[in-house]
Amino acid sequence: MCLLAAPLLTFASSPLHGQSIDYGVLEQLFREPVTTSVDGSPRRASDAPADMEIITAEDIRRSGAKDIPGVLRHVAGIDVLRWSDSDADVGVRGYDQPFSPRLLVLVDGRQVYADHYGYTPWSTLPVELTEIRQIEIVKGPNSALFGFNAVSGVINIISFNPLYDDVNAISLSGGTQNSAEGSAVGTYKWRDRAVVRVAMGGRSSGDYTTPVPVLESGGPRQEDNYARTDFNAVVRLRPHVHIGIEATHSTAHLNEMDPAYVLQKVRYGTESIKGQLTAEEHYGLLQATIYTNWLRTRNSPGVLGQPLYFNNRVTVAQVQDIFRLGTNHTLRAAIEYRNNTERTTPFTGGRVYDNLFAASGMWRWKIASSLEFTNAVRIDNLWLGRSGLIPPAYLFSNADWSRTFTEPSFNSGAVWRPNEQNAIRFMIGRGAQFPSLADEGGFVETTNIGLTLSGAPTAKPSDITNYEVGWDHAIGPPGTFVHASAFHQHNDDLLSIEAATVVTPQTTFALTGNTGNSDANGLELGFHETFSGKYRWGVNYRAEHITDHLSPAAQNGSAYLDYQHTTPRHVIKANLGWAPKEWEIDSYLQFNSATQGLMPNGNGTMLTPIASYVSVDARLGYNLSDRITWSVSAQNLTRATQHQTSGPDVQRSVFGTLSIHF
Amino acid sequence: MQSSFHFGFLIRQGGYRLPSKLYRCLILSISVLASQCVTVPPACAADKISVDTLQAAVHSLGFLETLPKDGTINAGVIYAADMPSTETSAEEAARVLNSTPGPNSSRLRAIVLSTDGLSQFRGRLDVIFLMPGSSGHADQILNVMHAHQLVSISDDPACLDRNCCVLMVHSGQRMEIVLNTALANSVGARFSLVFTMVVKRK
Repeated sequence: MCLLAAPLLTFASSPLHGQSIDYGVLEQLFREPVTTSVDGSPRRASDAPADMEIITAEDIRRSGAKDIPGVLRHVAGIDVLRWSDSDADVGVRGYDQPFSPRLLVLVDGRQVYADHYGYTPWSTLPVELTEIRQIEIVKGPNSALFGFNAVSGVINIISFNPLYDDVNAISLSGGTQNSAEGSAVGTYKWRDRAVVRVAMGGRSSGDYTTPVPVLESGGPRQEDNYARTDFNAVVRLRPHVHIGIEATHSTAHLNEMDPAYVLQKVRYGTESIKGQLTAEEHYGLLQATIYTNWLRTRNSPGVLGQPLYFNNRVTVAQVQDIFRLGTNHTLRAAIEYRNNTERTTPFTGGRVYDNLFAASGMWRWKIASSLEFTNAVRIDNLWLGRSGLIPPAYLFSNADWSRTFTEPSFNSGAVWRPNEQNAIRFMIGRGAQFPSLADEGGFVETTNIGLTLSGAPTAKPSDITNYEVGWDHAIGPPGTFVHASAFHQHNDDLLSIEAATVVTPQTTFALTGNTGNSDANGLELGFHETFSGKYRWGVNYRAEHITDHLSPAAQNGSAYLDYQHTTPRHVIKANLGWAPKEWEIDSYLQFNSATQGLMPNGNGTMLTPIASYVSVDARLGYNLSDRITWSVSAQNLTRATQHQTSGPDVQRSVFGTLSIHF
Repeated sequence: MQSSFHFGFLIRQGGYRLPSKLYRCLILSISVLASQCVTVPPACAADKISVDTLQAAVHSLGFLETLPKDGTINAGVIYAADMPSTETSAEEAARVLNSTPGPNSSRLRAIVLSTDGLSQFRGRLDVIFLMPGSSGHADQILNVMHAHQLVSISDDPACLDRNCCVLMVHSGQRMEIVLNTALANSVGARFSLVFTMVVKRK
């Protein structure tokens, strides 16, 4: 008899029966991750009608990263601008900048993108790396599912489901930059009915000691630190009906690059509370979610001398149902309501708010065994408003904020699988980026030099349309594949913090607004191989050419915006990993071609050169047992300091980590 | 392609009891056959068992909501009565299944039967896997499936054409799982909604 020798796989069998989406079980069955981040319905990653990457828990562990941007940095198509030891901005396919507004980030479906200024403060995310099951990255606009601001892409951080995954771990690390970090995750199950998971973490760091360019300096650096807590409970009401409650809290003090390219000291406080009902019934997979995010920030007085206090609250209510119609059709219907409010700052006494109602739908049609078509649409209706005090000699009255925006979004994609080895994707998507509340007038600063910086109710949404074709080819054994994609993206009505200047007898207004268009053409190539269960390596290359068509006042990076010159044309990333027995050895290389950055010049911004560079990260891990791992990780290993952005040079950082899983 | 081994499972909603004497004879027969397979004739050597496929098939059963979640699941491994050479492969499949953890909190117990034996079987079966060639006895298998509300699994795509397997599971470059929705409905099998959204449906 002939028996193919293969290790006997042990599938997790849980006494908690019934499924909402048990990612672990599905991943074990299909030998690849399962995602809902493309159109809301569960599907295999290789079947997704979008260009997406999924970073698994093992990838995270072996990345040697100390934070999520550090993990993302190794991913094809992702750009990370590291401004300080704790501050980074993430972009997809270029268009990256401080307070990057074009990338929507969620944790378990709850947005952690900060609506007050339209960006993601990564240090405040209440999720530990050991808690994350997978990070799903969708490249290109995905507003039809996730709503506005998912225009460059979406990052959905999926934590281990406490209902299915028993995660208990402690992690301690320390290293250069006087860094020290600790995290703990514990899960408790009560019979087959309920489960609670609590996670907490904290970190302190002395930050980089490289000089801050004079014009970017917002004062002496402070020590970076953060602390965060996440409480997650799930109760099984019936075999297929679950209710979940989550509460989070985080604080962070860090040196952060603001949209004016000034490195400021910032203090954050965030809280959230979320309730979610999931039911798998004959009428489909129903999910009802409601959550509120609170965010407070205090920025140190900048060059203009006034501290900024942001106080923002976002409440979101969503209901969706996914159901099948016959054999070949899957549909999704959803509605969403959102309320977003912020007090004006540094001018006090005013409040800017918006209310949004959205309806969306998705239709997946299995045309033939080898061909599937997915179409998703969404209509967002946003009502803007303002109340309270008006600054003296202001250009606008509260009535100017009584505006309505209606923005359609769509994503259409076809996946053709002519044989088992090949998948070809054709994708078109349109998304909308709404101005943040700060852009819409939440930020109003009257200086003592006759200048008033202000958001404006006249700022309108920016639209992005993306056209893309992609090809995935599997070679030989599972885990080996080639990827290629080509894309064209057109961006209309780009938003800038200084798009227009209005001179009045009392003051000169520098207003947020729209400042032109931009086109991007790009090509991505990748190869990845895993063999013998021990070795893995990959290489990917991105070539991208951006052409901006900006207003005359914004040419050559003068108005805090210049994607054409600040996006590297060539990026190469490579990784090599080896895991013999107890050891794990991984290295990551990145090459960025020469480009430019923006920095302030006292009257806006100017371009500054950034030479090409090669950066290497590495991790050496040793499994003392199946529960205890010791590792040493290094970032920017090859140089003590390196000029990667227009901000301070990044420094080499080395740290050791002890992880214990129970 | 990792496997040229085909197997089938018939899944019965209620199950029926196997007489103990017959059970003992079956176990003894399986043991004798298993020992004979050490010196497998060349034809048997061509049959390869994909452990991945077997395990995936078992794991798919975890999404079958009409299957008991604990206890013992009796799994019939069905080979074509007119292809006795496939009996050896069936014995091998049974051995693998007996060492595979069952879905959810259950335990698997595999029983080897020919297509003729299946029609005459009076014991309790919860699952059957169809071996290569057994799809040629589709009518015979379907009669038993409908009579006892059983679900069949195979890794042979031909079973989909002959409409005699509810699930086709095949581990190759990709894990392929196809659900025959009409047949599943006709035998009263109900799978998790999430599972039906991820697999292919015929």
